[in-house]
Amino acid sequence: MEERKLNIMVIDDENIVGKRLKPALEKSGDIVETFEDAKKALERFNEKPFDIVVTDIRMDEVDGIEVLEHVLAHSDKTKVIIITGYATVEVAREALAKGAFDFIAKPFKPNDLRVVIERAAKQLKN
Amino acid sequence: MGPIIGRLKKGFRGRELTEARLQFARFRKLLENTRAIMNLVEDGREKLREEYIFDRHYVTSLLDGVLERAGMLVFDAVVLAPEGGEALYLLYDRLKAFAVERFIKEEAKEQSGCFTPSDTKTLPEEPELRLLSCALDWVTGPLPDGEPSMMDLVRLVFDHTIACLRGGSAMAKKRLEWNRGDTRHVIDVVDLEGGDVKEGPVSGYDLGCRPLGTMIAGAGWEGPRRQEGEAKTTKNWIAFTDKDQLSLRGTDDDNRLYLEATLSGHTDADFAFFFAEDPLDPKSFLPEAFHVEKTVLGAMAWNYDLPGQDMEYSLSQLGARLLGGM
Repeated sequence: MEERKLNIMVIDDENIVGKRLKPALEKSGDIVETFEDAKKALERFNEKPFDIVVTDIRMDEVDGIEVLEHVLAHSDKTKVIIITGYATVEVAREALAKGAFDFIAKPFKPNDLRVVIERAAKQLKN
Repeated sequence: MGPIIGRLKKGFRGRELTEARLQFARFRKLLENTRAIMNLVEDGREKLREEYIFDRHYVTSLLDGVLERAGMLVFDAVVLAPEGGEALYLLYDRLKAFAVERFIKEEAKEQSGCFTPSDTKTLPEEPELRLLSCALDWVTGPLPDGEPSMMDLVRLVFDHTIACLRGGSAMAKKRLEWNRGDTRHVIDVVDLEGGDVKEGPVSGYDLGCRPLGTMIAGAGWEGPRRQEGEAKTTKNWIAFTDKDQLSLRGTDDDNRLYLEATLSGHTDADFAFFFAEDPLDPKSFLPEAFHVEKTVLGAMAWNYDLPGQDMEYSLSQLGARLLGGM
């Protein structure tokens, strides 16, 4: 049986993140949409459900925790993965306490994220 | 020698030994800070090479780390050789101001393309990659228009410091001597752990210093009585030793070499650093794995992050080339 394609949203205000992650994640056939503006990303999320949201935590206007809260308020199935260059135990603890699926510190390789996405996909199946 | 003179001599030697230990420890700190800068550069290069996902914060953190270590490096150098330390601080301040202006402060985000390290180099398109690429070029140099790089500061630190490492033979309690080819090697050994060893010639195998033991084994030294050939010249050395660490220095005017090595079997701790004053050319006797940087006084070279066995092999080769007949 063919595996269902995942709908993945990537939000980061630094252009390089979406630019590098999109082709890397699409290699396994998933559908990836990238956003530098978190507000626009949330508008898109309201229009279309996503299985996985990958979001940076430090962004102007809307930060990653607000994205996490918004997403989980609208879809309890969606898995939110937090990425950040300012990795601290406190930030990780807050994100996980608020329902994030996992937390990845930058710099990381696309494959590190792929491993977390695969774990999230398994949970989605169950 | 009378008992009073004997006690005075012992007291003087004890103070000298303490000073030598402090100098040895401080120079090791200086090397540790240099190594940390090199490791940060290598980490940055890996991020550029291997499709990592990172943001501007990574670049500014890397540069903050480089500046912090460089500040410690200058401090170490000035503690070792206070005279002329102002020049080091002036260059450090200039480099720090440049880094903050061009890379670290928030407004630098918009200017990340304006720093072109070389006319021939093509910079990456993405601003974060471009910023990292430029920042690494700024650390390693050379830069256009005579702008100093962080590596220029590192070179200046070693030129500033190296002269203070001369001397110390009077503290030696042990002496190794042998002929190889037409050269006689004499190494005065100062045991920094203060081991109570009988004065005079000793067996190389009783030194209790792994890096020096490896080097003299590489040189083919087989015991104090063995002599091969008639010596036409003599090379004098002083070696500061403890169990895993060695500071070996050539003391003749035409043989100003400085080797610092740790051989403990722990990859993270083991390294070899080398400084050769002009006109010696380290490329003529260093194994290939050494990275060489030219300075005003001569050239420095280092060999970090080699697995234990490779480091042992490097030191053995160095022993053969510096202390043997190769």
